[in-house]
This record gives sequence, C-alpha cells and structure tokens, in this order.
Amino acid sequence: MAHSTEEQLVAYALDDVEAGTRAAVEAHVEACAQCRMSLEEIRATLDHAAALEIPERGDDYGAQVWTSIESRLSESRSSEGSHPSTSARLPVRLMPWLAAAAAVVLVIGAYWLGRHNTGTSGAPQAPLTAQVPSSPPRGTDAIRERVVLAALGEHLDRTERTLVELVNSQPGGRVDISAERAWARDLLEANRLYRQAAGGATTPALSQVLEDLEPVLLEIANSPSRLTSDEFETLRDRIEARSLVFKVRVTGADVRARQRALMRRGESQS
Amino acid sequence: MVDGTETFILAQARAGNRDAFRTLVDRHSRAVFRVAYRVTGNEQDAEDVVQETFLKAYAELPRFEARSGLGTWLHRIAANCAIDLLRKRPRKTISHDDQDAAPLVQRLASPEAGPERQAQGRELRARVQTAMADLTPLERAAFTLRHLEQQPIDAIAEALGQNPAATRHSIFRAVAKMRRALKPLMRT
Repeated sequence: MAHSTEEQLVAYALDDVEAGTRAAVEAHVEACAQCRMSLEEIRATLDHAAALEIPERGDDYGAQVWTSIESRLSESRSSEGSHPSTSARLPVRLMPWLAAAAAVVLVIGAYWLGRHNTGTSGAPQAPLTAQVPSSPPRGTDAIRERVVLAALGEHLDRTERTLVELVNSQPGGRVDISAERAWARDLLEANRLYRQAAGGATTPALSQVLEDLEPVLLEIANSPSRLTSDEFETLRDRIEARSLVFKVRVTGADVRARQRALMRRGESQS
Repeated sequence: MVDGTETFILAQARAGNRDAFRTLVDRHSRAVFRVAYRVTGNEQDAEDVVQETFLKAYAELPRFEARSGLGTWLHRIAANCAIDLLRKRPRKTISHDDQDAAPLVQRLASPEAGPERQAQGRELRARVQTAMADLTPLERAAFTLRHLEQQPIDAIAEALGQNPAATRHSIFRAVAKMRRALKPLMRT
C-alpha cells in the first residue's frame, strides 16, 4: 500500500483536494498509522500557526490610519493615472442593485432619523433640522449618516425633478412622457426599498412621503409613453392633489439641511 | 461578497467621496493589520503595510470589480505590500524582532498552566515565530492567505502573480518547513 505524500496530506489538511482525492486520502489515513500520525502533525502545525497571537489594535485604529494617509490620497490616485470624478454624487441613473444597497444603508440612517423624529403619524412633524440631537453623532457614525443623507437627498432630488418635468408638460394632442416614465421606473425600485427600510423605524414623516410617492411612480412607470390629453390631466391632477412635489421638496430640503448641519458639526469638531 | 451597505459606501468611495473611503478604512484597518503582521512578523512593518495598502486601494478602487469581498481584496493588496517590503530587506531581518518577541512570548504563556507547561508553551510559540520568520515572503503570504484568510488558491495565485500550481507549492513548502521546525516540540 503506497503511503500518501506529504504534499497530499498538507493539501487535504488545508481542504484543497478534490472529492476523489479526499476520499482516497481518508481511506488510506484510516488504515495507515504512519500517515495518520503525519496528518496529525500537519494539523497541529497549522493550529499552532493560527494560534500565534497578533498585537491588538484599538477601536480608534481606523482613525489613526486615516490620519496618516489622508494627505497622501490625491497623490496616490494621480500616481496611478486614474482620473475619478471628484463629485461625490451618485450616478444619474441609480442602478437597481445600488438602490438596494442604499436601502440597506437607510436602515442605519433610520436610527438617527428615528432618534429625532419620534412623533405619531397624525401629529405634524418638525423638520429634521429643528430636531437637534442631544448627543450628536461623532466620527464614523457621523460619516455614515452623511453618506446615507447624500443618497436619500439624491433620491428625493431626482424624484422632484421627474414630477416637476411631468406636471409642467404642455397638454395638447398627445403628451410624450417616455423620459419621465423611464425615470419613474428607476425611482420606483429605489423608492420601494427606501420605504421598506424607513417603514421599520420611527420615521413617519419620511415614510409617509415615500409611501405617497410609490403609487404615483408606479402609475407613471406603467403608463403608455404617449398619453392623451385627458389621461395626462388625470395623472397631473393626481400628483397635484397629493401635493407631492411640495412634500418631496420640503423633505429633500430637510435632508440637505441635516446634511449641512452634520458637515458644520464635523468641521467644528475637527 | 460585498454586503449591501458596503456596496453603497464603495460606490461612493469610487466616485471620490473621501468620507465613504474613510468609512472603509475604519471598517477594515484592523483586519488588514492582522494580515500585514502575519506576513511581516513585525508591528512597525505591519503599520507601514496597512498605510500602503489603503493608499494603493484608493488608487485602484475605480478598477475594483467586486468579484470578491472588499476585505478579501484588501488582504491581497496587504500581502503584496508586505512581500514588497520584505524583499527590499536583507533576508535575516525578516523576523519578529527581539523587541516584539519578548513581550509577545510572555503574553502567550497561560497563567493557569503550571511552570513546566508554561515554559513548553513559550518555547513552542517562540519556535512558531522563528519558523514563520524562516519562510520566504512569498511562502508567508501564500500560507497566510490560504490557511488564515481561507482564500481560494486561484485568487491567491492571481494576487501573487503565480500559477495555481506554484501557489500550492509555496503553501506546501511553508507547512513542511514549519512542521520540521516544530517537530521536536510536538506531542501528537
């Protein structure tokens, strides 16, 4: 009976063998005391290597690393010949996968939104900017909030632009809404995810706006690309009756104001 | 794979949002340090590798394809940075320096164990450090990425600029060398 090679045993111990080889090694090791002992030694070696202690780094280690590299970042990108956009804004067409990710981020964001916006759904909601937290977020929390706010603000801006374009279209004969319909399809996906994420938290004002938006975006997305004058008037009335443009604008302004407040707070703390 | 939150932050960082990149640095620095330390065996070198890793990552971020998780990608960059750093030095300095090793060995001794067992534990751990230090940079990096980071062979090979067979052989050599070094102390 040929013994397993050391290389086979190492590969087996590291789970880097195909099923056929695995079975063969297992069968041999079962029957061969010498190879079994070799395998035990190899496993012990791997265990000892894994147990080697690594010096711990504290919770603020990321901040320390950031401080040491921040001033060299621009140099780093230009030296690689890369010319990324300096804008921190999202792409104009928010891809569905990105929207899904943004919705997950919103769960984090909902935490602070919830902290500052805890009224019941029937009560008038104070603007986000008026609800100054007693303990402002710091460091990474503040950065995450700013990232979340940037995404949410972008979504509301794009939604507002779409609705304004639509209601300002001139009726007469057939009205071409193909562009708005395409935008609405993109926005609908993102809006649904944002609403679901926000709905789980105590953010009634924001949830309500997103909830009001959804059927309208759905209707636009499913409309023919060219509407008759009557169809267009009906759609416009529906948007105006719910004061959707106004609500989206106010909510978007609140989000941006909150974003600016966080930026100012960050600058004053640094 | 990259989780949803990280996908979003990544997209922002790619677009040049430094706050988003800072979030990634904050999330991954400690794990990158662990990889860097395992390959370099020295705290100061590991610190340098961490910084170099994030600078390279920032430069390469627009080209990151997210086929693997961001952490996995960062660990491969770290392994390469560590190899580059170690290759610039004479071979004999590639080791846990005495300043690091002494307190580390002391920390590793279990306070509950008896004096003889503590001594054996110290000796074994010191021997592991020495055995790791005797590996070539490539062996250390390949072994670390495979055994300690559980990365697939093909990905390690790609990261280290080898073919998979050469990577397997690097890992095998690493394990075989350590096994020989530890054999006198092992009771299996």
